[in-house]
Amino acid sequence: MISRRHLLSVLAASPAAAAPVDLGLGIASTRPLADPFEGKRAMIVQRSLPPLLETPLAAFDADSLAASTLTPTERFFVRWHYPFPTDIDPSAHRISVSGHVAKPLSLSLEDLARLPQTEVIAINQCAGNGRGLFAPRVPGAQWANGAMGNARWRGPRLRDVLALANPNTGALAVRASGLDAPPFEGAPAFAKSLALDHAMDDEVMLATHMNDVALPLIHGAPIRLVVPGWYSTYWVKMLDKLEILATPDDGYWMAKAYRAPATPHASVIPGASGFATRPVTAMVPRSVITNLAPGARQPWTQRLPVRGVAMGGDTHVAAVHISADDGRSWQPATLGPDHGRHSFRRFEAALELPRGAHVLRTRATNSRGESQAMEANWNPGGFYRGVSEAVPMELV
Amino acid sequence: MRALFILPALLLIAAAPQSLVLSDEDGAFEDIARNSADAMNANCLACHSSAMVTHQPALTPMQWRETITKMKTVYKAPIEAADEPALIAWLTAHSARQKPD
Repeated sequence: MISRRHLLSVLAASPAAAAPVDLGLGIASTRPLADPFEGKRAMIVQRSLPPLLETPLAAFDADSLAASTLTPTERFFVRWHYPFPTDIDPSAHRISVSGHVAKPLSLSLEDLARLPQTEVIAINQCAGNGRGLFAPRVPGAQWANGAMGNARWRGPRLRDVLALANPNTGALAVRASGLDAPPFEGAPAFAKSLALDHAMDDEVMLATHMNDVALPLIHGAPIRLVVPGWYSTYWVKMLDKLEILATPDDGYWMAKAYRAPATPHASVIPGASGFATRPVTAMVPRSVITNLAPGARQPWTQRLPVRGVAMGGDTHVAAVHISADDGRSWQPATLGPDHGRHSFRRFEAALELPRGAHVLRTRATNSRGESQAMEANWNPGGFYRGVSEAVPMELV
Repeated sequence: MRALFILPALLLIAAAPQSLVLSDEDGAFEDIARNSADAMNANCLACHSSAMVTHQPALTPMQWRETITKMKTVYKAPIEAADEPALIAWLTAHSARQKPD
């Protein structure tokens, strides 16, 4: 019998595992896959330190609609703004709950484990996922579409933690921050706020587990915020502080950064200025093809399988349609099981196409009837990409 | 979402210490023709490894200047004013070198 270790070493050494990925960015686009540190395999390293690791879309692929939609943790994207501790002792970790509360607290993980535990399958996606595909290009982490992943998260609800501290009348928001810290004094510590009613809902949680094991350090051990349906910027890692605010959060990471135009699709004409902005919040419907890369040359087959994963944004995926003529005509894809409104949902179709060049597109529609746009949005931050992505390919 | 029973074994797993060794695989900035990378290596690597810069799209000198200003004013990077012309020169040369794959 072949051992798992042997199998992994064979896979790691095989040309398929080592093949570079073209991110479709036009320039500086073809990237090797790397194993940057323990626990991560075959990732696109956008930056070593602090780590920015992107998941190649093929890592989301499976040949069955019934296959798990969970992204393997070793392939899950990574995004840190600032350096963070690389030694974590959960038993010594404390989370302070302070500010506009009747009873300020310092809680251990043991304290949190005594609260009711919940779990959810939810997509964690960077607000700048797809930024590298913006035209014209914008500065920032140059992600293609792999700054996302789907995982099962487990831990206590935020509202049960806040209730222990008993927020005062007039409490407006909860600001969360963690152990990551800027290298130079005076730089703004990373902190994000949720309105109190959002923080007190059924879904926002503090996760101690990811995909059924203890939250790995690189994903924010020993505990992180999970805000289902909202972009990852709110999912504060290595959480150690919850501040209850009686006034709006005017900190850098809410008032200046992670803001997008207050327009439909957060879109403005490139070069525009002076528009009103608002914080990035809920995600939008998206879908990606996982078995064919842009520019693929495939041997002709009578029925070409096209498959991928879709998300509804902050609600269920209701439908996915596929086009082989750049969006002029569409056919419905078959959907896999619905694992909840915050999960990836698999889709597939078999296309009967002649030999030659084709432009594939997929378009997800959520349970509110919102579909992916056919034209890409643009904003200077590179946020909220949700366009139906064009995948040019050729059958030969 | 559903309520779960608390499993003592899971608590033990969550309580185990973790450590991780990270390393800079991006390497130092390199000279581009006559544009020395010395100022880049002296001023940019305290906060992030080099790929943050080298993976950026082609930006204009004005955009690079804005980026340097943001690093100084927001992130308090102690960038020497005397080094800024060399930074802009290197970054502009890097952008000029960006070609489609």
